[in-house]
Amino acid sequence: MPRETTRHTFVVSLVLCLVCSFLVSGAAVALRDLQEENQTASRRRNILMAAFPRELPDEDSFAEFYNSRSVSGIAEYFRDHVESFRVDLHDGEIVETTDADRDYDQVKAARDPGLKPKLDLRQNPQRDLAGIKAREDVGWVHVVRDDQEGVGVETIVLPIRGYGLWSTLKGFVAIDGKALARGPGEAIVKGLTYYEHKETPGLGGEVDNPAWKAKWPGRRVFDAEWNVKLQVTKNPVGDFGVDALTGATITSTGVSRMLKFWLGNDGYGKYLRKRVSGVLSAGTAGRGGSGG
Amino acid sequence: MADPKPRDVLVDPLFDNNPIALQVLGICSALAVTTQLKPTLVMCAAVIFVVACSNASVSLIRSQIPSRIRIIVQMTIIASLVIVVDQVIQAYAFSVSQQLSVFVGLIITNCIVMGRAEGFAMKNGVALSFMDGLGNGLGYSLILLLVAFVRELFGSGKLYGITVLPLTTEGGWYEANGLLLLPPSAFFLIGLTIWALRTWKPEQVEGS
Repeated sequence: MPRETTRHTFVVSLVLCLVCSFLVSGAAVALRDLQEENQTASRRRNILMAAFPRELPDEDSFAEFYNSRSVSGIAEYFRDHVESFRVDLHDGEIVETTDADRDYDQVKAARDPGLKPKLDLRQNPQRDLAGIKAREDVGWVHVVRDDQEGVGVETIVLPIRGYGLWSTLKGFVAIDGKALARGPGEAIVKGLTYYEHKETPGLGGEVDNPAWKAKWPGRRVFDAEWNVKLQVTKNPVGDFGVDALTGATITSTGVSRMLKFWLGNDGYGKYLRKRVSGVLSAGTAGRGGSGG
Repeated sequence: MADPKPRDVLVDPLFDNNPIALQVLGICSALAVTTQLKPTLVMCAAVIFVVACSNASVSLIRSQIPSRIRIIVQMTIIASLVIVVDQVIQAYAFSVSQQLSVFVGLIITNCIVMGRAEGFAMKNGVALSFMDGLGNGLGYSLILLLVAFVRELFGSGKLYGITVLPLTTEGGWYEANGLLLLPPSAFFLIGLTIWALRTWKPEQVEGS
């Protein structure tokens, strides 16, 4: 068959397209489960990294834990020790989480153009401290419970995100739940970790530096009136400040502002208040949700 | 290239006809993925696989491809291979796939892959084209690994994620060179490599 005819051109393109689409869809279908497992494990690993920061001297076992455990090991740990549920950021109530919601992605939800948010940040730009343009109504909360040498540990891990200099930083902040239960003034940070950002390497990118992350555990979060006092600042004094990153003023400010937003009244503040005052029926929602 | 020998098409692209150093192709990904050795290694493996397989596939059907649509046929083959590679990396090397982000997908537009398909595989046999793809992929990898070695060692004091020069920010003595973590540093390093290569092999100097 002469190869320059129109007919031949059509035949070749058709056969080629069929072969290629089989190849591509075959790979996508065959590998999907493994990819989803990876994504879930990666989210869970980040949650644990916030809850058990690397530099804590007495948490060596946990540093080992999240570096070495396999995907299935992390899944097992989550099943036994982590309760994931969702809360309505507008009123702080726990929202029912069914199996269908297990993959709920709150970042995607905020971007959904069909969403009519209860708090419209575009209408209230002065409240958009984190620079995220849109806030979802429902957010994940992860509570890690573990007994280390008989001491009950309860850690509340909350997803945070906000704009730095070049990019949106996404991460988790972990708060000591037992301390928080004694009152807002007692609440202390257990850890802070970012899993995604594109800040300048060596300057703002140092948010990943373990030495800087090690400055967070033990910092206080709120004053007695639930105002967020935790912040990144130059030459910190007192219990609330964490030393700013050298040469990264805007990234540092971004971190402060996103903490103020997500821990404040427009973020998880209302939920945390209700949790402390005990008006929530604790632990109602499904265990083992994977979101984050 | 009247009758290229398999050994020549495999070895030539390493030093004598390096796609990055002589032809200055594929620079975009060379800047983007070379801050650390580990993602660079995965990227190199991906490019070697794609360019070798696309060369072989294009060569296999070269007598059937109508010349009017040959570029789009090559693109389709390359794009399919890249998607498969991307899926495999996401499944088996998840953390690296997050670091590489879009750059695996951008192998599709890597001039080396297109260039070899159009320039070599359309005219030569399957085995020879496969070797040519392998050689060009290796030539690309050679430069990338060299750049990544320097950038990771002096930019973050590590090699393949293992600390070699303890950083001052982590209590050591080495003051990291922040420039090496930024994309322009790869330009400097590639420039220096080309200079070194052309001093060694003066026949590569243009216009001489």
